[in-house]
Amino acid sequence: MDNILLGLQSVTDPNVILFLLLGCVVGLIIGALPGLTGNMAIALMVPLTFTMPPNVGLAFLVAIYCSAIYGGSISAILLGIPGTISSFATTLDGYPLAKQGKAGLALGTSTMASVFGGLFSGAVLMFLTPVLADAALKFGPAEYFAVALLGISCITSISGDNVPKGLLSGMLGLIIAIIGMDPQNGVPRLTFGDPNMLSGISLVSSLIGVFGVTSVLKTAELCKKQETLQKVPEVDSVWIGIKECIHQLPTWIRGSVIGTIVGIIPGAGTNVATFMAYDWEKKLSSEPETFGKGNPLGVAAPESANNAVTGGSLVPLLSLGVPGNSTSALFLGAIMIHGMSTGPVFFTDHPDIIYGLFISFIVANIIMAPLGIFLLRYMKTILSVPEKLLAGVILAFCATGVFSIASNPFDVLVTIVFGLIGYFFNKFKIPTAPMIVSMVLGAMIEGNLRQALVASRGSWNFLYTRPLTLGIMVVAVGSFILPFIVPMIKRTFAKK
Amino acid sequence: MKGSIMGKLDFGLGLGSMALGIILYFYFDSLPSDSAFYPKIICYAIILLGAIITITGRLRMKVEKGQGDGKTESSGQKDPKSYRTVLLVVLYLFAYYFLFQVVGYTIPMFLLIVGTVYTLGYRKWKVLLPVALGVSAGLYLVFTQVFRIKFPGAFF
Repeated sequence: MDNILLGLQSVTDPNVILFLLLGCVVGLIIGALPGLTGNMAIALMVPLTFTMPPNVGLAFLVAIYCSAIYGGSISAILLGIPGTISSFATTLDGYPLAKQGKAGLALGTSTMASVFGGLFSGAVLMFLTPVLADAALKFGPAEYFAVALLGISCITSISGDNVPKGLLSGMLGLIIAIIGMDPQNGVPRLTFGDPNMLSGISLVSSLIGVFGVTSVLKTAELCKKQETLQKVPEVDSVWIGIKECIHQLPTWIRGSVIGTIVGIIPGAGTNVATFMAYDWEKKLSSEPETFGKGNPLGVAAPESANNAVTGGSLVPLLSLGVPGNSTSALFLGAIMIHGMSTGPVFFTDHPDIIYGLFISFIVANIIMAPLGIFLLRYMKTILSVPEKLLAGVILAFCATGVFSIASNPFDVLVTIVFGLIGYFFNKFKIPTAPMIVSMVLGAMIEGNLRQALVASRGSWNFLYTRPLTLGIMVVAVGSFILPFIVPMIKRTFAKK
Repeated sequence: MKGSIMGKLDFGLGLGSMALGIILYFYFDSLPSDSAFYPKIICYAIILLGAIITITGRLRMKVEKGQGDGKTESSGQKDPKSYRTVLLVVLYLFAYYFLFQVVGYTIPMFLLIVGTVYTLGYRKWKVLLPVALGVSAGLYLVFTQVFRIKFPGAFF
């Protein structure tokens, strides 16, 4: 309780409120623009947080994260183009509703469902994370090694339809994490004699390259296509009324529970949650034939689920130090540039910051509703900004922001190179998310493995003699092989 | 696409990955054993995955050749001009990287924005020039005055 009060105190800082508001506006606009993702919004803004106090910077990023996911629904409903991948399921009923002249109802539903999903997962984040972190205090190097492996085992889930390529991406991420001085004996590895490389590759610079520069290069490749501006439908009143809210409440709860659970599982992803919630809602409905033709519950279910993923996805990062997706890796980068690290020590060393983050998360979701309703009036103008013009502005933010982190031009070079890596990954259909997760977890795996081996005098028996390590390892192996087993089970049942 | 193009790409990717894994293995082999032990495990994994991707790519090529998928191949190919645009944007980025260390921040940034947006095909100069000027000067002012960042180079 004291810690929650500490968090509340942190949020009363006018700067935190100001940046929560600003973060919601930035996230909402970037999320609404098709082609610009929430990840890119966070990546571009991480360098700005470097000069801010940690509580202000993290509040800013949390607000961007929550509102970008919500913002994605705006273009999904008005244009039939999801602003972010997580809003894909929203287009199924949101766009038909807009075409029927009920854009206000669809947007209002999306706003209320998103806020509910965000608040629900915020509460879970605040109460579950400390419990997990407390348990993690008992961990030694062997357990941390197993936890890091558990984090990396999600690679098979986030690899899409080509697991070998996903695994290759993960291995390349582990190699990139090796670059720099060996932390135990100071031997330079893959530094090629460049002093800039001795401290390793900056996580934030590389992520800005992968999300920012790569998106511009993709735009460049497709720029010869004729840019057609779609007509944005008129938006009537977006307030859906108390009666409709009560009618939709069970849908919001189901979507939020699915979203939060899926979010906590490393690698499961927002898409899984939104389609699960949509599918479940359709199955439970007394009129399933109306889904896909403009049923407001078809908007409420995925929107509550995708915003519930936001809180869930931060649980493993903050409690165990394991990012389950690219967004959590970006948050880790933001926390690291302030000289802090995630996991149990975060709770003991900086309770004000972490509880401030929880409260900021909840406040950001509360701000989102009135702000979203207000900004919807200007969406016509925002959605008509040409993508080509935005590309130049994105490059400017990438190049400037990345330099500002350490005032080192080498970071700009790292961003350009990683932008190219992201582009080539896209051409070869290699997913980038496994590389990002591995880059973050690489040092944790190697450091703890070597420490555990030293403690067990070179023997690998720590993997099965310590019950906690063994338990986590079993879950990690299960998580690794699950994507292979599930299709086999499905095929077997399909044959029967 | 793309069918057989993807098969060829996978085949090349697999061979490239195997080569990278082998090169890295020999590199790490030259380091002290405790520093090399963990990276060498990753090298084994890269070589193995490279082999799997090579084989699956080769099989895909054979299957698609058997199905006479040549038509899809040509239809999946992109206009070379689109790759030229990508290359130009990359060149502008490298030019910015070298220039801003010598000339300063604002002018290279202005040129980067104008060059990129123009290359992408945007031709409304009345919008482009004020936006480029506003963004480059605005970012310079915010970063130098608010965030106290010092940019390198001779000019502002």
